[in-house]
Amino acid sequence: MGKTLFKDIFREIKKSFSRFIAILAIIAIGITFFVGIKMTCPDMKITADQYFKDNRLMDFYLVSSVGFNKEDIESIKKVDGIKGIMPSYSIDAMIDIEDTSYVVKINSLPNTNDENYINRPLLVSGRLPTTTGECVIEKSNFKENNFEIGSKIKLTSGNSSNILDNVSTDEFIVVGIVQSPLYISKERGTSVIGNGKISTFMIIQESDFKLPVYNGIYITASNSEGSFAYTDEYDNKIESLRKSLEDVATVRSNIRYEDIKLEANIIIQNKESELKTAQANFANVSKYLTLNQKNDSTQEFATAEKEIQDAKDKIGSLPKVTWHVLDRKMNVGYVEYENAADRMDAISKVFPIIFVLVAILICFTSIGRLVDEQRIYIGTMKALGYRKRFIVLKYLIYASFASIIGGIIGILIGFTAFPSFFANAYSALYTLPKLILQFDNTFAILVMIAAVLVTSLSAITVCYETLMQNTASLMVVKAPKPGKIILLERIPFIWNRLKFTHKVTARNLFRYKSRFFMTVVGVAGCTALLLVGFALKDSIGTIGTKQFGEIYTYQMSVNTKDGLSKSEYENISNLISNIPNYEAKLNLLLKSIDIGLGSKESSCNIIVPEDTKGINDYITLHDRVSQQKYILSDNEVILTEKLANVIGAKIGDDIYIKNGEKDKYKVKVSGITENYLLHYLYMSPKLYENLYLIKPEYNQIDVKLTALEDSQKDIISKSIVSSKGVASVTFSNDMLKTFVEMINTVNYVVLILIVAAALLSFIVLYTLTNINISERIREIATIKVLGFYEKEVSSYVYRENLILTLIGSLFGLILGFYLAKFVIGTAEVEMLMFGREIYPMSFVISVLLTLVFAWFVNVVLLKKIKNINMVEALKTVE
Amino acid sequence: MNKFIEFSDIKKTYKVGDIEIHAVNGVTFSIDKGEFVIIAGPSGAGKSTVLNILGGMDASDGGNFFVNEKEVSKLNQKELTTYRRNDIGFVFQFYNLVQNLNALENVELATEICKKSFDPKTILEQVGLIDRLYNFPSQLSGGEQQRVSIARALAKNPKLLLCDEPTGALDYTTGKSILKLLQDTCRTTGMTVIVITHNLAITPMADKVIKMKNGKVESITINETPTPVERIEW
Repeated sequence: MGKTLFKDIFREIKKSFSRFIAILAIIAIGITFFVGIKMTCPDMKITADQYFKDNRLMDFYLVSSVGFNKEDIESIKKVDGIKGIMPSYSIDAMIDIEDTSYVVKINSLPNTNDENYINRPLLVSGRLPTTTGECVIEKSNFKENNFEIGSKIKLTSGNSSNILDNVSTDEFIVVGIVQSPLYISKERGTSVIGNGKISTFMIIQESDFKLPVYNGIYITASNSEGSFAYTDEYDNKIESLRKSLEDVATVRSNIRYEDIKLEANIIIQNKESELKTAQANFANVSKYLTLNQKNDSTQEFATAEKEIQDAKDKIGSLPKVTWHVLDRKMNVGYVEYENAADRMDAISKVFPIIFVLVAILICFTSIGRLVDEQRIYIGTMKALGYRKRFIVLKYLIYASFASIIGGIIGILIGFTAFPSFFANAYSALYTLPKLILQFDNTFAILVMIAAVLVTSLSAITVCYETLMQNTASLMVVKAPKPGKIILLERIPFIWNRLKFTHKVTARNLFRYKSRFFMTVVGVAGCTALLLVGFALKDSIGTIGTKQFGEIYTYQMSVNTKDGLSKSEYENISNLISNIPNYEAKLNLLLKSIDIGLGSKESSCNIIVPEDTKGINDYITLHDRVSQQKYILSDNEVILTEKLANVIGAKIGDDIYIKNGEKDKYKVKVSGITENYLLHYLYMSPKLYENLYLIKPEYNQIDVKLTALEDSQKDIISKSIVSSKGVASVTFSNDMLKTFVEMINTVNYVVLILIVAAALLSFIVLYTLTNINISERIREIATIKVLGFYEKEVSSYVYRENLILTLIGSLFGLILGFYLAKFVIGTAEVEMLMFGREIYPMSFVISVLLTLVFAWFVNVVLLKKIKNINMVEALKTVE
Repeated sequence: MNKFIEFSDIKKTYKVGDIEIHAVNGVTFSIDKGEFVIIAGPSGAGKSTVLNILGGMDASDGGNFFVNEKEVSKLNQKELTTYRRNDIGFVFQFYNLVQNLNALENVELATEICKKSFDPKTILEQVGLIDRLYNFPSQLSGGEQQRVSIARALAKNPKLLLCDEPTGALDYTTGKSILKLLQDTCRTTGMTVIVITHNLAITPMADKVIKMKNGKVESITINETPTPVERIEW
């Protein structure tokens, strides 16, 4: 019995191969895409995690405004929960490559045998430096100026100082090429020399540095080893160490401040006593001196006295020593990579919905047609006395078999080729070792069960109706579906105006309701996928253009260092005013604070513009939807949109601003302004003074410049960066470019969605049209006999397809709109707001592409219509 | 070359696996304009193949034939379609009506594409279906369906009406009335009508009877005085 059944099934598969393949393909493709995209995110993260673990990426990075001395390090070592600690030196220097100077970051390599050796570079070729004058330099996927082993690098300081004050030699020989877990993205950070942007990094022996203090301390936590990077578990585990480190930071920064003051005082005291001695000596010898000599000396004493007085003043206004405890999230590459991976994960959420729908649909149509064709067979089996259960088994096995093979193919490709494709694509943006492919047994089995369930349940459902009929009626060929008057005919106004062939189309559309429904669902899925892709691109693309084009309308922004004296700040300000392209500028205070509403809290940046009326010329404060401008008043604040969402604040709400751990100031929100990048709270200087009881100390200057070229930017940047007290110079234009590059990662996502949509529409339209043609073969043969030309025949058949495709597309736009909203919502990270607009062009392209796919299917099937043999088709009894 | 249809040495071979079947093996005949012709013979004699070739639905492998002084055997696919469109009306054993169109629309389906077609309603009236214009095929009897099918063929105003076993699926009386309709059409409009049948009893009604056997013409008989179908019993 079993043997015959299987023989029968295999013959059936052979006979209806294209239908079998359709089921198999939709399952294979669905699973490939779902599993593939679903696994890409964890694969990417685990690859990064392994890289971070293997190369001991730091958990924390400590920086200080005065560097770290031995005592600092000793006291940090005593903190509980530290696994490794690595003090490091680092300087920025300039290298010249073919007439262009680049900023290079030089990091130190400690004793490599030490367990504490953190942020280990991954050697791509060559070896690590072992003696003085040797270096390794990064092998980068995106830099044209890669160095080769054996080449020499000549360093200059990039400012008036001598490079040899900081390092033992200014010429290094490249002994190895490396990549570093610290730098997985293109971003290398900013510098205060050159054009202000770091191009590349190199590593030299620690002993080649001649700096008096360490610039930074890298730390690994002892409890983070077991948890994966990018997980909440990891974030939570390192939290206790952060607390301890922050405590040490507070204590030590105070001690260092006092130390410095003490040292300075000692020096001053020494100077004073020196001066006194000198003055005493002078008094003793003055009678022997000429008048000129006397005058000189008195003048010298006056200068010395003044110097001492200046030094004393300086101690009075000595900037506080600040320590920052930074974690991996301050590393741009680390965060960017996570965002890229998470975007993939968000996309994976769309696939199950659409593919399950379509898989059911394909199963229903294919098995349905099979059962229809085999009425007599089913009748015969029933007549022979086979149980229904047994008869169903054939179709059940048929469908399951297709889905199992399809599932296996999908799982194999999904778990391997797919993530690799993405990793490959991303390798243009991130420098990481080869992707680690994971296989998730539970996930694979679950997906497989889902696939088999979907197909076999569809098969059973579709068989059920036929099986329930009595045996005798099964032996008779199923009567063709009778024609019926459709609703539209009852509206003569429209009906009578339709051309004859259009009436036929209209009737057919309503005649085959299930086909109508299925085509619409399939095509809608296709259009929806496309729209999600393009919408994602739009919304991410918008961030840059809106933020740095429409919201920030200044061209350049200069940040100053903390604790500048008034005159130093004035100097910078004057320097800016003298730029040839200068138009106007605005002073701002930018600092980080915590705000909250009820139980929700968030960190954000507070911005206090010197000129509350003028801020709108630099930063557009307006409502995103109504575009209505806000004016900064003296008793209320304006929040950025995402920030307001995060804490759940609305206009008119009273929020609190934290000052330290205890103090909370209450303020009213007067506006929620459009903003895409980071969180900001805008406040007038008067309100700031009322709350904090000090006048705002401005530390950022937003500058409007007339049209400027890239070459000018470099010159401007160099001239400002080199002046004392400048922390960074950024051009809105450059920021815009960075964001444009971000879209490149999205392009791959869009590409994948286009491919998925194309395959989906192909399978759906091919299966449905194919079955449609088989079902109506007599009709088509008849009109061929009547003398319809090929074109007329195909338009007779395809007009319905076109209409169904258009209707499906329309539904797809609606479905896609909501799916896109959902995906964008999930893909968004906390500090970023994606654009909320989908450009009209994306709707148009989604529909057009769908039509192109549909057209392609029609072209493929045209041959089938052309090859319909009139004689053969009409010979068979209906 | 002044005959309306000139069929000379037409051959058609089908290949089934390695076996060649000579469905039509050198058929020659001629038909005058306005003649009512019956092609008779047992199943497998090649009647339908001849009709299909004559109607431009199938191509011959050898020989040539002319219809109205046009060498149809030389036409390409597109020209054959034009030929079917303007010169040929087909009537099938199983009617082949489009299920989703009512009687009138089924006829309109044909007239849509012809230039010198007749008014569909008038034609349906002529075949006695004026009351059934808006009925769908499933709502019509077999005889009525065949009438629609004939009306559809006639409405195109073809030069040649080809009928493949038009009564094959009908009962005796209905079949007879259909044959009468065909004969009357031939007489009143002067249209050339060719009917295929395996029923030799009805041959007296034709002007010309072509008997076929094993892919060859067995005999061609000309009835000087064809019998009206009403008087034939079988």
